[in-house]
Amino acid sequence: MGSRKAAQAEARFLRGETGVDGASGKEELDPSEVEQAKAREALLRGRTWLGRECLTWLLWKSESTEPITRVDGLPLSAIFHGRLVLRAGAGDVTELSVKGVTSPYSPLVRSALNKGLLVHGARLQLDHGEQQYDVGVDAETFDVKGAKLPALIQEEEGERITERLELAGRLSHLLDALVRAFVAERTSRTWDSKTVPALKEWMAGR
Amino acid sequence: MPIRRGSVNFARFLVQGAVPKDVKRWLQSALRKEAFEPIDVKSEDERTAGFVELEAPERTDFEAGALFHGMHALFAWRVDKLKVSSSQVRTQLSQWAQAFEGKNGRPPGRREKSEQKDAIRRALRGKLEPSTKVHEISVDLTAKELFVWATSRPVVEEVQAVLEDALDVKLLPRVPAAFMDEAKLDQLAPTAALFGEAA
Repeated sequence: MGSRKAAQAEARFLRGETGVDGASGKEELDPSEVEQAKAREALLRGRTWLGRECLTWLLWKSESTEPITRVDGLPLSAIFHGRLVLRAGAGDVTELSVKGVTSPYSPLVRSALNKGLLVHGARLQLDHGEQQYDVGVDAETFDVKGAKLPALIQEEEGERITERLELAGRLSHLLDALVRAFVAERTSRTWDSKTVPALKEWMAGR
Repeated sequence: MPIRRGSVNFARFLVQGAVPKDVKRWLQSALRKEAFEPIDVKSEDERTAGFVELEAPERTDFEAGALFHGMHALFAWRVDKLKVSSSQVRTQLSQWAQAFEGKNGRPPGRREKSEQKDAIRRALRGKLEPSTKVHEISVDLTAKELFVWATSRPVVEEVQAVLEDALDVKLLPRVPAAFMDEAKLDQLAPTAALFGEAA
């Protein structure tokens, strides 16, 4: 071994990177364990699990197309459409993404939900009175993503900004109303005794 | 400008804490305290960020006419980056090293190379224009709601932290946990029947 190579090997040994036999001293991490740890961390970070429960509950409630709640005296209904992302905190499959206009309500999705993959990301169409909004949300932040607001009525630039800000605020209030409806049910005594069994039955396709 | 047109993306917060009666002064002093300052080309800074006026991202006066729009306060978070490309530095340094060897009959020493590298970096930095990104922020003063019109989470979290400090309020993200009282929330755990082995 040349002196330069010998010096490098010595330095690696002194840094603890290699053992006396020259082999790596670092413990190799099992990629599967790393993935599981990441999935679990993502589930617990900022109580994302509560957001996933919320979106999964909403998917179940929305299937009937009945209004979920009322806002300012008007019914508010939600329809899931397009891409849906399911995530699990453990298991062989930690993420599943489906695409298709009616895919969120497909038997495939329900089967995955039944195996512990809950809704993490979704696109929702919200109908409130005569106004329609389209919005992407995720279970961790509930940020508004790629939303489409109802068409603006005002023509003057300053008034259009005001109208757009008002519509954005209303969209946020509608999302809050859906979350409030979930929270009321999640914190009620019937969550474990009635809601969860009904959700599981729906997931199982019964 | 996403507030004006196009696809709508924003992070949502509720302003929690006492909002003084003199909202104008409260906001103005917070925004001026954290106002944007351009990168000093002579420094080593690669990034600078701060608040600017929405309509004029080079202005930081925040006069009432520029700040308020009806019952909303509108301003922006400007981020400038000035980064010299390391591949460009390497190329110029290699060209200089070749010329040095041709002239002096020996390759440059470590110190000479290091000094030249600094000189090249400084020269390139002086010629560069910073890249600028402006993220809009709206505050509904009646509903006490604040929207950061950005998709980048690091930017949203940076704006949240700076505003919480400057305004002396808490910005509560509008996630399900925010709709529960702390005592109830602490008792909750993931529903085992839904999460399976992860619960």
